[in-house]
Parts: sequence; C-alpha cells; structure tokens
Amino acid sequence: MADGMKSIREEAVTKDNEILERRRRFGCEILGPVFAQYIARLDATSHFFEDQRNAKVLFMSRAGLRIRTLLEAYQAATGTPALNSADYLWASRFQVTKACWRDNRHLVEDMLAKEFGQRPLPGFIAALLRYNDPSAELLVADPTRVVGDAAWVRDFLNRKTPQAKAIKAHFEEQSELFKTYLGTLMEGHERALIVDSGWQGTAQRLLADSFPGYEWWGVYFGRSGFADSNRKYWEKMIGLVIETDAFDPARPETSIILNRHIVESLLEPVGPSVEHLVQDEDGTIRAPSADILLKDAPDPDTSPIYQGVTDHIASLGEQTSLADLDAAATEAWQKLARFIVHPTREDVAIYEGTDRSTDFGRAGVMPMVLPQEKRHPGDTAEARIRDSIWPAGQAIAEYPAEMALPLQRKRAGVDRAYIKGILPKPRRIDAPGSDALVAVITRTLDRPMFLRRAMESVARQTFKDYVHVVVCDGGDIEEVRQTINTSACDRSKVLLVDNVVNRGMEAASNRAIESSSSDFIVIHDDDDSWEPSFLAETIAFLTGPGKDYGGVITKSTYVSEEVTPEGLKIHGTSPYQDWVDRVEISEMAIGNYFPPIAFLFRRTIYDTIGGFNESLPVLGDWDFNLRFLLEADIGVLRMPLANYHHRDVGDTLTFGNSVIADQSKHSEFSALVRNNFMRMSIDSHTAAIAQVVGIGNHLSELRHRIRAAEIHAWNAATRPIAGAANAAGVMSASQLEQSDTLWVAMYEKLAGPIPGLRSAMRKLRSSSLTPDEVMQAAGRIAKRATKLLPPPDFNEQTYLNENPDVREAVAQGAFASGFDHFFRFGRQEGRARPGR
Amino acid sequence: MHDIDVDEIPVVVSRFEDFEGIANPQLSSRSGYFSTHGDAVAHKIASKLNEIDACILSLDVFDTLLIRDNISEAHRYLQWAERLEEEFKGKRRKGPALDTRSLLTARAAGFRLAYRTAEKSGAYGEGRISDVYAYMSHALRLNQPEVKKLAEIEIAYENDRLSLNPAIEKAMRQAREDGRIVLLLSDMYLEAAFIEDLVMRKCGGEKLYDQVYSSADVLHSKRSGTIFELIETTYDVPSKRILHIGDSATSDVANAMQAGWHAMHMPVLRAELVERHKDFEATLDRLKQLGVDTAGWAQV
Repeated sequence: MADGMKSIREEAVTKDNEILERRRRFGCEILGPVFAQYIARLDATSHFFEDQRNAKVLFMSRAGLRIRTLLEAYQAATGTPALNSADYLWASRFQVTKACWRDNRHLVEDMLAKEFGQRPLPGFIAALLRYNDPSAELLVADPTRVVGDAAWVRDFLNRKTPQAKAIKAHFEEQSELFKTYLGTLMEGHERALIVDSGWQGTAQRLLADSFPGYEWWGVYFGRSGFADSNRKYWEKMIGLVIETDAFDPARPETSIILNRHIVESLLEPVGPSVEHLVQDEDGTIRAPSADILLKDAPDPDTSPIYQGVTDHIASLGEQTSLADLDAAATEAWQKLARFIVHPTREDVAIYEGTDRSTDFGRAGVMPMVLPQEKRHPGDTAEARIRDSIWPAGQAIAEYPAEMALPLQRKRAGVDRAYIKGILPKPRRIDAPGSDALVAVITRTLDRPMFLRRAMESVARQTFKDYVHVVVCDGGDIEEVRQTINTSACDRSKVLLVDNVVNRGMEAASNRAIESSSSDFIVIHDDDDSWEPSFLAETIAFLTGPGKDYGGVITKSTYVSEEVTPEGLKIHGTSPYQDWVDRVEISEMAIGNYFPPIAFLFRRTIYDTIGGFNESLPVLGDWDFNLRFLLEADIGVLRMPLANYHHRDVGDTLTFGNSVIADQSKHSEFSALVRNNFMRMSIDSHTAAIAQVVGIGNHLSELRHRIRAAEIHAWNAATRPIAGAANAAGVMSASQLEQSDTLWVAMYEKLAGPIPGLRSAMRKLRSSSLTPDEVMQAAGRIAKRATKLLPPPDFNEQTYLNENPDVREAVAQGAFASGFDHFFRFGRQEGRARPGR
Repeated sequence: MHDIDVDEIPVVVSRFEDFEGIANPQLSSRSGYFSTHGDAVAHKIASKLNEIDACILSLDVFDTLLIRDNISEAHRYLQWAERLEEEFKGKRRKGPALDTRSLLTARAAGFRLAYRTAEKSGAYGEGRISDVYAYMSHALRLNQPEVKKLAEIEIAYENDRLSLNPAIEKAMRQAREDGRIVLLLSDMYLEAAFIEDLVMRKCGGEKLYDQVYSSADVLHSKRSGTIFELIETTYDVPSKRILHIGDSATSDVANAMQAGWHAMHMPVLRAELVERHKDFEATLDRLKQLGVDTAGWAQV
C-alpha cells in the first residue's frame, strides 16, 4: 500500500517534471527565436534613439522590467554594448492617469469611465483610495450603483462628499509627485523612448497629452488597435514585430494579435502594478511597488517558459548575425502561428494554469484558458470561448478536435475568401465516371462532424443509382477528403469538387450540378439527413404516378439538436410544416415552406430556369422554388422521409443554421427576391407570379399583424394581473396561471360562442382572485378548450426540450402543443413554466 | 521573373514636353537622346534662361544631372550589400560575419526608423543616410572604420552606376559663363556633402554649381514645395527669374510652377521605367530566395 502510494506520488512528480520541461522547451525553441529577434531590434532601436535623438530610454513597469532583463541578457551574450542612460519609469496606466489630473482632468474622467464604466461603485472607490489609507466609512457605497460615463465621473468627483474630496486629494498629490519625479528622470532630455510590451500605447498617449514639454516615443513588441482606438500618436508608437490590427495568414507574426497574452504573460513580473508614488523624508520620490518588482526572479519551476526564452538568448554568441536571428525567427513564427491559430489540447496544456493579472486598480486574474465548467447558471462553452483571452485555445479545450477546428478557423478569419478578385477555377477531384440517375449535392465548409452524418445518410439509401457530389466551398480540402474516407459511405459513388475559395451556397450548388449529368437532382445540406427510403420513394413517384411533375417533396421532420463536447445531441423531433399537402405558387409567394432536403427535382427544369441565383447569400432556395413553380408542378409525398436539423439549443450562433443564425440577412434578401419578381413582370410571362409575390408580402404582413393583435389583446387583458406583480415585475405562480387561463379563454372565444365564457373572462381580468378561484376557473376552461396554443410569454421550445416525454406526446398528436400539456397537466405535475 | 504588362506602367505626363521628342514612346534611353540632342537641349535651356532673364538655374540631381541606369532601387541596395559582403569577407572582426541578408535587413530597418523619426515640416520629412548607418552600426555591431566603409562603398557604387547628362553639363557651363547662379536641389536621403562628392567626381573634379540643397539637411523639399521660397529668400531673387529642370512631373515641375518659378520637364522615359519594373520584379525574386523581408522598403 505504502509502495503504491509512493509510486503514485512519484508518477505525479514525473508528470510535473515532464510538463515543466515541455514548457521550457516551448519557451526555448518557439518563443526564444521570436524574442531574440524582437530584443535585437529593440537593442538597435534604443541605441539609435539614445545616440541620434538624445532620447531617454525608459523601461516602463511592469513589462519593462523583464524586457530590460532580456535585453541585458542579449547584450551580454552577443557582446553588444549596454545603453548609456536607460532607466525605469515606475508607472502604470492607472498611475499615469492619476498624474494627468492637474493638467488634464477630462482625460482622467475619460479613462476612469472607460476602465470602470458599468462596474459596481464600491470597487471603483476602493481602487481609487487604495493607497490613501481610507477610513472604513469612506469605503461605504451602495453596491447596486454602477460607474457611468465620463460625465458621470465628473459629476461624482465634483460633489462635496468625503469620498470625492479624498479621491481628488489623492490625485492632486500624485500629480505633483509624478511631475517632480518625471522632471528628475528626464533631466537633460527633451525626448523619451518608452519601452513596453504594447499594444495601443495608452500610457504613452496620456503622457504625451499631459506632459507636452517632452516628445514621447514608444517602442513595443507590437502595436495593434481596434476600430475605436485613439491613434493620435500612432506614428510615434513603434511596433518592432507587428504594426497591424488584424491577423494576416501571409504574415505569421501577425497571429500574435489572436493571443497577445503569450507575450504579456511572459513579460509579467511577480509583483503589483505601480499605482502610486511616495516622497521620503529626504525628499526622494519613489514607487513603493518598485522594491517588490525589482526582486522578480523567475526560475525554472515558476516560469519555465520564460526560462526557456532566456536559455535561448544565452545561447546566442558574438557570431550570431541578423540573418541568423531572422532565419530562426521566421521558422519559429510559422510554428507559433500554428500554435496560436490551431492549438491542440497538448498545446493548450502548455498554458494551463497561466493567469494574466488584471490592472488599472482591479485585483484578480484571468486564466489563459477558462476551466471547462459552468461559471454561472446558463453559461455555455460558446460563452466561454467568446470571453476567453485565447478563443482558439478555449475551443479545443471545450470540443473534440474536429469540432474545434472550424471554430478556430472562423476566429482567425481564414475560412472565407478574404482576398477579393478573380477566383481560381474550382478543381474537380476524384471524379468517378458517372451516369447515375440521381445527383445528390452536398455543400460543406469546415463542418466535418455534420458532413460525416450527411455522408452516412446518403450511403444508407436503399436506392443506389446515385452519385454523391460533395463541394468543399472554400475550406480545407484535405479535411473533407479525410472525413469522406473515414465515413461509412460507398467511396465509388462520391465525386469531390474543391471550390478553392468560398463562393456561396448557391454557386456551390451550381458548380456541383454542372459536375454531374444525372436526370434528377437533390440538395442534401451537410447538416440534414434522410430516412433510408427517401430516394427510393421520390424516384418511384417521379418515374411513375408523378411523371408529369417537375419535382417532388416529402414531409419533413424538424430535428432539434445541440453541439456538445460529446458530439451532436438530438433533443427532440416534431413534424415540420405538417399542414403542407400540396405545393401552390400562391403559398410559395408568401414564403418558402419546405426545406431543400425534402425536394428532389428534374434536371430539365433546373436547366430551363437557369439554376440557382448565385447573388443571394440566403433564401436562394426560395427564389429557386418560385422560379421552378413557374415551369413545373411539385408533388407531395405524405411520408416524413426528410429530416431538417436545427441547432436551436446551446450554441446557436456558432453552429447555427442560416435560418436561425442569419435572421437579418433573411429579412434583407426576402425583399430583394420579391422585388426581382415584381420587376420580371414588366416584359415577361411572369406577370402573374410577380403579382402574387407582391400580394404574398401583404399576406405575410397580415399574418404578422394578426399575431401582433393577439399579443396586444392579451397584454391588455392581463395588464391588471401584471400590475399586481411584485416590484421586480415577477408574477406569482397563481398570477401566471390566471394569465394563462385568460389566454386560453380568449382563444376559445375567437373559435365560437361558448356559454358562460364571457363572464368567466370578465372575472379572470380581476387582480383580486384567490389562487383557489384561479385554479377552479382554469379547470373549467381547460375542460371546454379544444386547441391550446402557447401564449406570447411561454417558451414552447424550451418546454419541449426540457420535457422529452411531452415532446414525444406532442409529436404523436396527444397534445396540440407543449403549452397544451402544461396547462392541462404540467403545472399540477410541478413542471417549470419557461418564460420568454 | 514575372511578365510585365507594359500598359501598367504610368505614361509620362506629356503636357510638360519641353524637349522635342523626349516623350516619344519609341525612344529607348535618354543617353542616346542626349548624345544626339545634347546641343539642342543645352541651346533650348539657354534660350529659356535668356527669355526670362534668369538669375538662377536650378537643377534636380538624380535622373536629371546624373542619369541612372535601369537598375531598380531594390536592386541597387542589393548590389551595394553584395559589394560590402565582398569587402568584409575574410576580414577578422569582433562580431558576426557581415552577409548580404544581414546588411540589407539592417539597412531597411534603418531607413524605416530614419524616415519615421526624421524632423518633419508639415507632413514631409526626409530620412538621412547618416541615421541609417548609425542604426546599422548598432544592429550589426560595426566599428567606426566599418561604418565609414558603408559610406565609401555607397558613393563608389553610385559613381559607377550614374552618368553625367552632357546636355545639362553644357547648360550649367553656359549659365555660369553668363553670370547666373547654378543650384542643385535634391529630395534625397543622401546629405548635401555626399551629393557634392558624387557630382564633383562625375564632373572630373570641376565645380560647375554654386550650392547643393538636399532635403536630408534642410527640412525643406521640392515635394513639400517649401524649398522654393527658401531659395528665393536666401538669394533674394524673384520667383519669375528662376528656372528649374527636373524629372519629376509633380515635385520638379508642378510644384516649382506653383511657386511661380519657370520649369522644364526632363522625364524618365517610358521604356526606361519598363526596364526598371522588370528589374524590380527579378530583384524581388532574388531577395525572396535570400530570405530577406521586402515588406515596406523594396521599390522600383
């Protein structure tokens, strides 16, 4: 037993040593050459400023400490002379902000609002008075209040409260001390060169604005901003490695923009941020934090990555040339860019447990990769990726590799053609000679987990005379090839087309259809699926009883699913647009109502109408269906053979369908499609459809208005009940039941006269019903009601998702809706009522 | 080497066609033109000076008084670095070997910094070659004799590649004989002393000018337009009695005329520009093979 324990401990120690060594090697082999090149440039640039521009070189705390240490290590290793008059500038953005108070108050107000805006007031006051030895009552503040904008800060500081007075006194003192400190530091110089890690040079800007007597330059690892960055002094901020806002795959060093914390964490010394100065009795002005920071002594156990970098720099010699440094850095940047953009789980482990400390008066740390657990109710992997300081790293920590890969590409912006211009010709790969009867078209872009399911959906078809054309619409062709090769499909039936760059869904369809010569065509989106008899039934129809039809649809099933770390999880299914039993132009004119996965059509019609409209990023299928119906009819098979999948649970934006994730585009292009048809009426035989499409818009609008009127009426009717809700606007269970009952009664009233309903409704509008009275009324109305549809404040989808048994019952027709179940039974069973 | 689409090369602005036939698209080199039209050109300049009763003849230097061959700027830098590598090869020094890639990389970084930190007049400022050498001395750990060698090779290299324009030489002599002041105005990173050295070498040691002005020294340039007023004030000469000749349609002609000066355009030929573009493309390939990052500095 004791031996066993020992061996486990030894194993843990060995494992720890292994990871330490991996981190050190990463520092030495990857970051080492990158930093050596940066430090060499810094060395020459700083000397230049000293010699040619009489500048004072100032290493700004905190990153400046380690930068200076690395520079001195480089100088020692290569025999380069040290700088003549370099010094530290003991300051932080927060300290510089305070120092601006006397001469530049509005800058201070802006900075405080920017850094503390929308944060709780007590934290704001505590941060500002941290070094002022405040009494306990000074720190008391209403925790529900938050810091506002610059005008709010001005107003707050202008008040004659003890807190405002204390803060202003602190600012006054720090302004004075900093001015004197700076005067001593800059003696004999009119120009300063700040050395810091990067990226927007805020401290430099504040100093330039508040101390214009000196010319302020800055030299950084990188200079990079955002759309709203203040670029007033941009030209005087020199980024030695990058000067750009965006990642450019052609320049691997720009990948650092996607994780600047690799640089920041390496250069962050152990010690607090410098947030105030003090004056000793002998008049010396100093930063108390400096003593701690100067003791920063990274060692192989606590800072293995930094150790690796210093090991690399120490290995340079007098004979190391610029060419050597450049060549090594070029190679290292290729590897580091891959590491940053497409990290593996092993890569992420390098930075596991690495925290970045927050600054500007705030305490706390931010891990490079967030733990893969809920931070609060409702937290999702998608939210953690969004909030992470290394989204690509977070993605691989949250999801399996094949699911993380497209997310990482999307984050880096490399999954779309970012260079406009002449598109390279698509490449047709692996073409089996095919005279198959049906061409199944699948467009895919960076979604291997969906594609695999689609390949298998097609392969399971009982009808086998098909060719499956897969179009890789701009993603990694090797990834697609590998997915196909590892899917359970008949490889001889697959035709792979590489579009090289992203051309859009409709263009991808056209290219794929052009690559085949079948009589029949069907679009099988990569995220949808079929029942095994889909092709057999649809082909049998079009070649038999439906020979006069141009195409056929089957009934569809709506599949609600979620992407989870374990894979695709189906939450439930329900009939989709179940009322469809015929396809009429007039209905299609209002909007598309069947999914592409359900529609098989003849190539002759496709050719006649000229294929898909490539200018439409969304709603291309609707436009196609409208034009199709001008030429031919579409039959309906009343069998649910097509599965229309929706990621409507969990990460709906990341993995969403265009229907869910691109709502705004749908609205915009709906207008374009309608307008196109209206214009067509001028000189063609399509006048009729144009008119119908135009009217369709009004019908669609009318439906929306009826729904809006229902909601309005319900709101008006339930106002007294809502008015009795508590101060936070939350209704009690009984009030909710009363409101639901009123909704059902209103609907029943629309359906026809029911004895006693009118008086029941009148009673239900009262705000003084007891819970028992409400329950009795609900029971009476539930007995009479026939079709219970959900009220506006009831989240039907969530209820079905959270209650799979109800979903099943609704699918089987036992209930009209989830709400129907909830109203009759769910509430009594204690099931939660999901609101909107 | 890439194919060059000749139509992509901007056509020389013909409205400044002051010298007969110089904008003729069939013309392949200015050397040929000036050897056959030298006297005519000199005569035309003299006539113009007489016509305006000029006090000052002002001349652009590079591609006007001293004609460049059709080597692109990027190629010139490359050849300069190769000469230096040859020069330092085998010599014992404290520090790394001075290879072409290191020299070029340091020169490019030095230029970027020199221009960026140069004193500005409005939006205009000129980097100085002395600043570039200062940066290189740190980046390459050069000692003083080695820094001096950078300048020596630079001037020797330029001397080899430039040729004196015989027509302008004639015009300068005539102007000085007629008692006019001859000034040389250059928008260039080379300081005036450097340019003087070059011009004197090309003129066989004879001084055919009164003063050289380089934007690297004076913070004024033809590009910004402020040099013209400086000259008028310095020599107390009205603008209408000054004639300037140069190859740049904007800096030498349009800006000079804007200042009230008379100006004559002596453009680089279209055929020469095509050759320089071809040379540039070929040089980019070579620099890429060498592993030199060309972003931000390599140009025609």
